[in-house]
Amino acid sequence: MIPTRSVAYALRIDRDLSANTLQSILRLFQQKGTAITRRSAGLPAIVVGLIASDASGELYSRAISDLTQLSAIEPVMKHDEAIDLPQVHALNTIRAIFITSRLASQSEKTIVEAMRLAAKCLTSKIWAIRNCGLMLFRSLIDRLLGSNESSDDFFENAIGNATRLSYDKHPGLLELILYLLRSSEAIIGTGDDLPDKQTIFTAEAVFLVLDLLRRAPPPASSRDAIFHLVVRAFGNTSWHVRAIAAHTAAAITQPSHVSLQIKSLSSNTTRDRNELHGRLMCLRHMSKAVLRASSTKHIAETSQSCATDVAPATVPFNHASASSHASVKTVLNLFRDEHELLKQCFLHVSDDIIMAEYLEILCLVGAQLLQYQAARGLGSGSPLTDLVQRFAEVSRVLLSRRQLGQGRRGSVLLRMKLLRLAWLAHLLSPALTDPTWTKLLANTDDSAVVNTLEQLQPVLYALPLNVSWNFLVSLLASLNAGRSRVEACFYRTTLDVVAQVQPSKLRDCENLVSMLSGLDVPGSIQASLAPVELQSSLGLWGHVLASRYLQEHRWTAELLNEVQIWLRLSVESLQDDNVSDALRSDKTHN
Amino acid sequence: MTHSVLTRLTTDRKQEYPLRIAAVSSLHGLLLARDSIKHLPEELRVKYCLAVYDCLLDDDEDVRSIGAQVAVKIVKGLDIVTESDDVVPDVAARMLSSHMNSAYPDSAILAFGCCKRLLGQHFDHHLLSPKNLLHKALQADTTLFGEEKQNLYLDEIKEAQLWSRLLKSMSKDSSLRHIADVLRSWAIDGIECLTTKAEVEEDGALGWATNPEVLTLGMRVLCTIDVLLGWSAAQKIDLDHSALVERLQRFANAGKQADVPGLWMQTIEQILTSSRSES
Repeated sequence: MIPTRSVAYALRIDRDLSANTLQSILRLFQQKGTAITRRSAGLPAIVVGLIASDASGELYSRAISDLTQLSAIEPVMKHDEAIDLPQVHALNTIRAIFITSRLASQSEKTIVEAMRLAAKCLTSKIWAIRNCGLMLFRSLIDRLLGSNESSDDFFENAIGNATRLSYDKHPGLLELILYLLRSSEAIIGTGDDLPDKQTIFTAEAVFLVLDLLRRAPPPASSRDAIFHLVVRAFGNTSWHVRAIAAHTAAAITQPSHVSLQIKSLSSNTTRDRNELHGRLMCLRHMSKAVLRASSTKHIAETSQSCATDVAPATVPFNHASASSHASVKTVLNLFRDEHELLKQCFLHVSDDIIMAEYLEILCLVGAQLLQYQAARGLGSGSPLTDLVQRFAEVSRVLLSRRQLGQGRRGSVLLRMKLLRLAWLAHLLSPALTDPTWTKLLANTDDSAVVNTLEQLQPVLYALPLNVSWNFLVSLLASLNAGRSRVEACFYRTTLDVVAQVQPSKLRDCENLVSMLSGLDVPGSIQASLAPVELQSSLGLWGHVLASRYLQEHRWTAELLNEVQIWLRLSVESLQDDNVSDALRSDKTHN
Repeated sequence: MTHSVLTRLTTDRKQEYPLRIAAVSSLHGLLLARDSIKHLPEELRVKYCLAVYDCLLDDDEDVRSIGAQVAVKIVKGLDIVTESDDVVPDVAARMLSSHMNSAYPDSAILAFGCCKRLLGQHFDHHLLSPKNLLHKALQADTTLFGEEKQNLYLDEIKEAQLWSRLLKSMSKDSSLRHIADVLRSWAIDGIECLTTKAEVEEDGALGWATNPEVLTLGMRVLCTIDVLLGWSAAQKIDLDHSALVERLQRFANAGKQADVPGLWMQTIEQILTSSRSES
């Protein structure tokens, strides 16, 4: 039996030893900072071990206060370059403390304080310190929210979703966020005379804060204030910051306010292209959320009404579908001719990025309408008809604009969107859109070679949907004849067409490709992003078939043919084993 | 024949997640129209079911879970899947396969689909012979970096067993005779080369048959023989029953000597017992 006193004595010696070791490590940071290699050479791990061995928590608070002091020392600059940086090691050690699970309960209380420290480091003139601050900040955010959430899963984190972070548990956190947002805005506000470095740093800091807000929406009481600050970041010169701001603004909007916010965001005028781009991105996220919410409700409700054996066409819109109808209408209203947003976008009609974003929202609506149509099997005279008509009208106007797709920036993006739009418009309302295409074609046919391909593109997208195959082949042949040399852009356009024809005229595609000699299909198609578009087309194709079936309530021969091709494509898409590929290649060798 | 554009687009690369998700949601999409499946011609319906079955064994959980919903809808004829109907993909796969078994016993498409899954290769006139497969599997791999195998979720032996059971209960109309000819020559080749191998080389704990591909190949061969004997016992096809049993017996003897995997021996025993009781 060991006397209690001697145990206490042994413990004290032990603690003293730990404290002494800690002190000597801190001294090492200060005196031999340069000798310590990358990531502080494992010293943080020793510090963590020492602190964790002390059950009383005394060592923890001492270490934190010493390290904080150390990291707050103003660095000594020699010849515009800092030589010795104990701050970096101190910050690394603090970071190590906060990511250690054994110290979790102790460090929990000081998270906000550490964030403040990190935020302060973000304004440092020295890159190494800024970098450490950034890493610390990132780790603390992960600590608050958990790190297994990937940074892109906006879809999982639907509007207004609760996260595990409670702002009440961390007093001062919200104030810190507000402070950071405001101060970053102040820095941005001072204009272009800042050095580049500073601007980049600001982007990093804002990005982190916005990301935190996106993943953990603030309490309702301060949402409005934060929303306004976030919206101001739409004008940021960095695309990434704009994108995350748009995400965040959509994520922190309460579901009941979404319609209202869509209206207010779309009606204010702005001359700044960046801001318009940010707004459009935000509108896209909001629209997506609105449409997603309405679609689940709607489809479930429709299926139920189908189950009670009422003929689909006679089911009136009841409450659930009326509200989803209204929400689609809100989004679709963005595309009215007299709408402010439309006017603004068309001011920048040559800016492909803005137009692509605009078209993306339009495509979202189109896909939604298509799902409704498929679910309900409605013909003319349904409440959806006016929505469909408006959609078709806007698409028609957009697709017949020759300026679209001429710009350099982001034009691949825009072309893909146009392609999808043409497809959706045709599927939704062939009667409304088809005559337009034919007219456009009639014009392009005479002067096909004279027109640049960019000008022809929107029309080409619409082509295979409604003209006879022979016409298409002759048109492409005439285009081909006009080219004395191989032009990449020509092939790309043709391949876009091929990719689009894919769903309906698969066999003919083969002929087309064989017609265009010297064409490396797989490489070019991959380069032209066609597979991406193929995915979105394929995803909807099943719905489309269902919708067509419902229009006649029987499978016509033509439709069955399409089902064949569709099934083949689906099956091929699901194959993912190397084995069958290997076997196939073996067979060809034989 | 040149590959079609489609094949080039979809098979020249490993199928990425978005494409497969798109495919399965597309399959789901068709069910939005009530009765759309019911009124399809049988051939397409079977193809559709087989495609859905592929989804249930996909590497990605998302694809599998959407596939499970589709499968439940098909089997139970439902419009929406409520929580009480929701099943895990594994169960859905079992439900779907027995549904296919009972609904389309005389579909030639289904029979071909079964053969493809039983043999693990496209079922046409250019079947890779078991000898080639065995040789390839036993070649020492000298590559410096192994390539990651796709679809680790798929249990090939379990699939072979499942589809052989399904194939066994196909009715006589489903062009069995043609299939049986191909299967018989393949299976005889297989059992011959396995027997030779077993006679020449001892197996044991780390022997040649512990190679996963060889193990699978052996099971494929045995399951195929099982199917053929089953058909012949039910008088669906003409087959020299006793000759095949004899070959199997020879392999069993050689296998016992060479100490081949227990799974093989057990399967052989089952086949022999059932063939004895039937004859």
